[in-house]
Amino acid sequence: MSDKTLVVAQLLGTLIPLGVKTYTEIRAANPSSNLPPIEDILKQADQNWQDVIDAAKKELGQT
Amino acid sequence: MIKRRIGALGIILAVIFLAACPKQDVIRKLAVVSKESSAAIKLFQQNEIQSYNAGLVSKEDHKAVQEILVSVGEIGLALDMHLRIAANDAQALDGLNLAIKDLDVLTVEISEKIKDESTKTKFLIAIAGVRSALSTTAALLGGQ
Repeated sequence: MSDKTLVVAQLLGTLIPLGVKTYTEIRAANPSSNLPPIEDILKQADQNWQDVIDAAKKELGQT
Repeated sequence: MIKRRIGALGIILAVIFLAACPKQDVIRKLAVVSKESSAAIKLFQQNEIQSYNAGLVSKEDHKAVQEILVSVGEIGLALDMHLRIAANDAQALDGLNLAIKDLDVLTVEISEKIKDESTKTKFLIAIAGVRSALSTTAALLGGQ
């Protein structure tokens, strides 16, 4: 491995964890990070859509 | 030399992080639109069922409404699935535009199949509300 490659590898090894740590800290300090996870919102949406389908099928079974 | 490399890597990392943030914001907004829309349609359905049970809606119209609502629910589930697998804004927009096209087809069906004007109008307003929320979001994303 050449000296240049080694320097770049060392830089990446230092900067990437530093970047991830900084990003994680910013996200934790940001009020928007307190919002519910997207998957939770989609689960609620899915549940509502499924409720509509189930109720409609139930009604169709009765008509 | 090393300073320039540190600077370049810093820029690359910043771009990666900045690119990641808007995507999550867009998907979140679309997920909220889907959740709010599903709640609105569910409410419309409950009201329609009450009206039918009270004898205010004919059997034929009730059947047509519920058949169309099955399709509306399936469009919603498909949109949610699309949002889950979207890797970027463009893919999220594809799912959104697909849902809008499907809702346009259903709008025609509502106009043709439902006879009672009051039921038809209420259903069209409910669907138009969902379509409007989706198309506004699509416009903000650079779509329709």
